Order: sequence, then C-alpha cells, then structure tokens
Amino acid sequence: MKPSSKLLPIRLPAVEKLNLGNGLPVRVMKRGLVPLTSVRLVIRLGSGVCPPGKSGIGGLMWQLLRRGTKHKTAQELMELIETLGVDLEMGARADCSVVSAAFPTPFLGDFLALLTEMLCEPALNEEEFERLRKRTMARLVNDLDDPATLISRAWARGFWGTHPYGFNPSGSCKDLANICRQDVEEYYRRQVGPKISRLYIAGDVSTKEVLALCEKTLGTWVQGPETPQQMPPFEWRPQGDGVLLAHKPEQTQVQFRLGAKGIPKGHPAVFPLAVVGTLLGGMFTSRLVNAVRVKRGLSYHAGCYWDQKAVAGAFVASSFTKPETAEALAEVVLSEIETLQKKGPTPSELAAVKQYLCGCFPMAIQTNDAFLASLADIELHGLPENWIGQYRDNVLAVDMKQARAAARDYLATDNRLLVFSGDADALAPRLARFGPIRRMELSEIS
Amino acid sequence: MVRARFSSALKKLSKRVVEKTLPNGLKVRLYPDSTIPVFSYQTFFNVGSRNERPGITGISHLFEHMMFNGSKKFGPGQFDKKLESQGGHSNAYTSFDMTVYYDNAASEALETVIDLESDRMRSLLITNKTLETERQVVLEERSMRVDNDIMGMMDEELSALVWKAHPYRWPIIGYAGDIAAISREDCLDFFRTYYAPNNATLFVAGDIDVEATFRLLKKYYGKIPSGPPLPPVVDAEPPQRGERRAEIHFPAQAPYVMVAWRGPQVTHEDNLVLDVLQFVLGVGHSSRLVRSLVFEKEVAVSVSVHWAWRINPGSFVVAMELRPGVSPKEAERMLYEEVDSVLQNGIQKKELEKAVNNLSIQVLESFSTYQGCAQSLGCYEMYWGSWREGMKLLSRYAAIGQQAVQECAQRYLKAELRNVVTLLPTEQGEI
Repeated sequence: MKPSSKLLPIRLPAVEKLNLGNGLPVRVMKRGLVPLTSVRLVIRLGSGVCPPGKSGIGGLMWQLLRRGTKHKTAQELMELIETLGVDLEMGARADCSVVSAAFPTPFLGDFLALLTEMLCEPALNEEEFERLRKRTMARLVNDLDDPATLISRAWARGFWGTHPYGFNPSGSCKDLANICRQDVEEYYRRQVGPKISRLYIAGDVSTKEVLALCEKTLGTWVQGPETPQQMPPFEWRPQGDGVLLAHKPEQTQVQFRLGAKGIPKGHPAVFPLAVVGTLLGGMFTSRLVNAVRVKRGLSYHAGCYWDQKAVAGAFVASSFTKPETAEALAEVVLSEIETLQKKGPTPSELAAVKQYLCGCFPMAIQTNDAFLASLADIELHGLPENWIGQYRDNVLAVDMKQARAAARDYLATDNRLLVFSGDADALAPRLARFGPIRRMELSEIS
Repeated sequence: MVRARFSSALKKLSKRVVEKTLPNGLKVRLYPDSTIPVFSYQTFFNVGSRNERPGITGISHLFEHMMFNGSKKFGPGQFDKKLESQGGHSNAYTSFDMTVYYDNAASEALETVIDLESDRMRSLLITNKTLETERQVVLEERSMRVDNDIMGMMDEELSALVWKAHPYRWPIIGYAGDIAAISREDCLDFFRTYYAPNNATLFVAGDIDVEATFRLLKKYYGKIPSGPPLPPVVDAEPPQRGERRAEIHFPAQAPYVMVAWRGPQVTHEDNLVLDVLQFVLGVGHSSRLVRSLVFEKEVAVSVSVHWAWRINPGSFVVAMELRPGVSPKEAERMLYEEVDSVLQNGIQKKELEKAVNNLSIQVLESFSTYQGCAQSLGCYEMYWGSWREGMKLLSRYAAIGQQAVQECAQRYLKAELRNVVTLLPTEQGEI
C-alpha cells in the first residue's frame, strides 16, 4: 500500500488567464472526469449594495434577467437554456453576485451566447417584474414556516444589525414594496458590468477555442461601473450577553444559534482557526457533537463554523433541541466553547483534526463547480494565488502554540449573541439567565 | 453529437469497473481512478423501511445510527475517531429500499476503512445505553424532518393515503411511538437478519490499487459467515378504487397541496418514461406546471414533481406551495387542467428532447465525483441487480417517444386514482 507518512500530491490544472477586449478577465482550465463544463461569472456586487430602503433589489434583478430578452420571451429563453441541459443559478450573495452553470461541453458556445444576450439585452419587462416581486414577497412569508430559515434570518438581523451583511439577499416585504421596475433597470445599468466581473470556465474544453468563444460573446458586454462599490466597514459592537428570542409558538423544536465576533477573509489566523473550529464543531468527533449528541442525545445536530466575509466575520454555533432542553443545550455549547478557549486542544486532537482537514480537502474541490468556486473566492478576496495548492501544507503547519492562541483569542463566551426560535412565552423565563432577552416577532423577519 | 459523446464517456467509465464475489456472498465492485488521492467506500445493504413491520417502524434508520456506536475491535466512539484522524469522514442514509454506509477518505486510509467496516459487519455491539442515546437523537431528527417541516408532515399523511398495506405507508424515520419502543433485542434480531455479507454489496471508487484492495477485502471480510436468506417483502397492496383525500390543519403562513398517483416498480418499462414525465411537468422554469402555476396563473410560490425509483410500486407526486390566501381547490383545479392536457394532447417533441437531455446529464454528472460514482453504481445494482443496467440508461431514455409518455400518463395519472393531502393554515391554537 501507499506510504502514509506524507501527503499525496493533488494535480492542479494549468489555468489560462487573459482579459477580453472589454476588460473582462477570463480563467479557463481543462479538468473533470466527465464531458461536462462549468461556467462561473463572479460580479463584485454584494447583495447589501442597494439604495436605502431597497434591500433585495439585487436578488430581484438577477431573477428578472432570466425572464426574457429583447428577442426572446421568458418562456422561449428558459426553454432554450433548459433544453441545453443548463443548470443555471443567478443571484446575489454577501460580497458578490454569481452566475453559475454546468452543461455538456458541446453546448458551451450556445450557452455563452444566451448568457451574453441576457446580460446585454435583457427585456426587464414590467409584467415579469411585478410577478417576481409578488412571488418573492410570498416566498419571504412562506419561509417563516421553515425553522432553519427563520433562525438564520433572526440571527443575521440580530448579529449584523443594520450593516448590509444583515440584509436578507431576497430583501424584506417592506423594502420590496418600495422597488419599481425602473429602480431595477437603473441598478442593472449602473452596478453590473464586465469591469467588475471575472469569468471562470472549467471542463473538458480546449482553452484556445474557449477564449475565442468568450471574446465573441461576453467580449461584447459593455456597460456598468469601472470599479466595484466598497462594502462599508463593520463596526463590532460588543453584544453584551444578549438573548434574542424569535417567537414561533407552533414550533415543537427550538432552534439555537450562537454568534460572536469572527474574522474576515484573508485573516492571518485563518488556518489555526480552521483547525480550532473543526475540532470544536466541524467534524463528527468534534467536541460539540460529542457533548450534545453522543453523550446527551440532546440533538441530531451540533456544529460551528467561521462565517468569513470581505470586511468582517462571525463565529457561529448551531443546534436544535426540544423546548424543555433548550437551556441545557445552550449551557453545554457555552461550556464546550469556554473549555476549549481556556485549555486549548490536546495534542492528539490537534494531530487528528489536521489529518482530517488534509484528507478531506481534495474531495471539497473535486467537481468543476467547487474548484471554480474556490478559485473565484481566492481572487475575490485577494488570497495568495497558491491557496489551493498550499492548503494542506498550511493546515499541517499549525502547531499547538498557534492553535491554543487562536482558541484563546478568538473563541468567546462573553460578548456573544444567543438566538433561539420557538414559543417565546414559554422559553423566556428559562432563558433569562443567559442575559437580557429581546423578543422578535415574525413581522420583523419577513 | 452530445449523446454519442456521453455514451462513449459512460462506456469508458464502465470498462474500469472490476467485480468479484467473495465465497461468503459479499459482492465487490471496484472503480479505480487516481485523478485525486482519495476514494469513496460504500456498503449497500439490501434493507430499508420496506423490510419493517408495524410496531418497529423506523428500525432500519435507528439501526443505521447504531452502526456507529462500536463493535468488538473498535469500541463506542472509535469508528469515527479512527477514520477522521486518518483523513476521512463517514455517514450513512436509509431509504425505503436500502441502507448505505459511506466513507470518503485519503488514499492512505484504505486498510483502516476496510478494517473498520468489516469489524462492524462482523461484530457490532448494541448496548442499552447507546440505544437510549441514539433513540433520543433519532426522535429529535424526526421532530426536525417531520413534525416541524411542512412537506415532511404532508408526505407522512400522503404515504398513508397511497398505501394501505405496503410498508411504504410509513415514513422511513418511523413513527415516534415505535422509535420509543424498539428494544435492544429488536436491534440484535435486525442485525442478524439483514447485516450479513451475502446481503451487502461494496462499491469502492477512487485512488485504489485493484489487486491490493481485493487482497485486503478477502483478509478482513473473508471469515464473516453468510446469513440466512432474507424474509420476503409481501406486496399486499389492494387496488385503489377511488380518490382518497386528507386534510392537515396547521398554523402555517400559506396552504399547501400534495397529490400522488401510484406508479410502477423500478424494473417496469414505465419507470423511465415517468422520469421523462416528471421533467416535462415540473423540472425547470419552462416545465408545464412551473410555467403555468408559478409564473402565469401566479397561484404557487413553487411546484415540484417527484418520481422516485422504488423496488415495489412507487408514487408520482406533485407538491404545490401556494401563495398566502390562494384557494387550494382552485390551485388543484389548475393542476388537473395541466395534467389533463398531457393525457389528452400528449407532449411536444421539444419537451421530450429537453427531458431526455437533462436526464442524460444527470446520469453523467453523478460520475463527476468518486462519491457520486460509487453511489450511482450501487443504486443501479440494488434496483436492477446489476450496475451494468445503469450504463444502458442513456440509450433507454433516447428510445422513449412522445406517444409512450402520453400513454404512460394515461395509465397512471387518472382522476379516480388521485391521493390528495391539503394543508390548511389555522391561527395558532385553533384546530
């Protein structure tokens, strides 16, 4: 069998890079096990970039771009795209907007032509706009019945406050009611364009042919800003030890989130924190899973992660349990965080988690979509170019001193926000010991 | 051109598969590929919730949890500890028809994975203590997937309408009362009956050496004895003789409607035709139901159509998430108009082409990761008796004609054979 003393190499594809005539940077690479190609267009336009009181305008715009061009009705356009077998996603995220698609390689030219038509000559039709707006508002309301969506929205609102990271990418019913078709058109013309975008293509392709195709199609895309809008800084205000209680009385299971200050993308402590976060709640043998699920049977799930964005980040722990054990669950999670913060990991834990992260890493980038997403993230956030190739070495280089320092400096049990969703009347008396309670009604979340 | 390229890619993939059966009946299929230094190791057991009976519903799934709680060589908590510390992770899932355990790991961990997996197949430990903890975990999982999930609670109600006698009647996760009552003896009996090597098939895809892997498998699994033949699953489902309906009253924001018709078993020739019909009706923005109910008539926020392959006759399901305030009756009427249009006028050539293209891509896409590859081959083997049948899917989809889709719809989507569950929103506290 192969030796286990060192990491087996990951073969990375050669990435062809160039700029189209309109300034759009393109990265093309040949890779993948099957004759399918993935395309990813990343626009430096976060969902929080919007005129005051018009959150959700970006999400609405991306939906509307799919609903017809100057030459094709929405139905004709969708039929063409779906007949090619294109799995198309278009939407706004915290720090960028993304168009991603995967399809059979021979359809690359057809897809790029359709994408160009959607971006350069959208219909932006009034009737379609109204439909989408009403549908999005109905979706925002219906989503309140999904406990995981409800708690995520409540958490984001509570943690990020009025910073754009706190906006729901789909907006709010109140803000959507303020948006008209002209707003969307103006937003599209001013905020979207090739000079703030990058195009990534991976698959069973000839790079030379692909670059020629790109020039012919997306190379004709000319509009939009010269530079991206900067995300405002996030001013961390210590949360005290607040408790936010989203009132959803019919839920027979309480959702739980803990939020504390985290790190932004590209932070120097990212690898020690990846190690610490994974051993706390990012793998099945993590401390949280062990304490919450294996030892006590309190929940099916317990975990944590570092939510890293361009200008700020959060540490998030999550779980759920029955109403009568909500207090016990929060206690256990806080206690595990505190223990790790004070004592750091054990040598065997550190060795195991590093091996775990290194072994799993190649799988995380196996598909073309996943590989392109990583590559795009590196360029979007200005991470080192060899991030993927060096990832495992950087993880292996984390030593006990760094891991302990990361746990000590970045895991916090004070100045954290605890968020619960469930029957606020029944839960409030039992959760008051964790800090002052603020009750949130559903109307604040939709 | 695309289909030819796809067929050639599948042919190339299938040539790599090497298969053997150990003397104890354990079937092994290996797919070597060294593009990245990892492998996916999947054990398919031919047991799911269809093998259960009333009183122990959910035991297949609860038992799946018990498989991670220690065996003779690797005690409680050791399975994942050992695997994760060597660069791997594991999980499992239970369906109506099968239970699948998978380990994805760095190439160097192959022998460890074989050691771990063979040990739990040979000598699983089931203690009252671990059973009690897992029972609580599973009850929380049920609370998440069924009791606090609108589609989950509707699906549970719908299955009980569609099936009166077949075990597909109950949810895979089981009823809470049964989960609470399953005993250690039930689990031991279940293990002895279903977890023998002659009821399992291993699929390993990725960076492996075929000969070395076979040697290790023989070394670790070779001495595990075969089990007895499996008790048959009796399909005593009586014919449906009229529309069946149920209502759920729940404090939701909007009404929901789910409609199901019984379909055929996976090996029936209509199975793949219903895959096509599923795409024509409800997959993609340009599909008939999404276009009509979501974008034109604006009664639904989302519509989805589910046709899932099953060993015994399955169900063809349409789920509608309506806009707040929309009348479920009205939405149902609009749904049936669209269905009737297919029954009466059939489908267009371009709709067929779109469905076949997408289905073919789905087949191929599943081979873009080692995990997907092992999973697809495993499912083909479990459903059809051989993974090779899956390699014929592209040509089978391509051979389906417009008329076959219309006739198939006429056979199954009959008005008198509908099963309808409606969720009606109530105020909190109202019944």
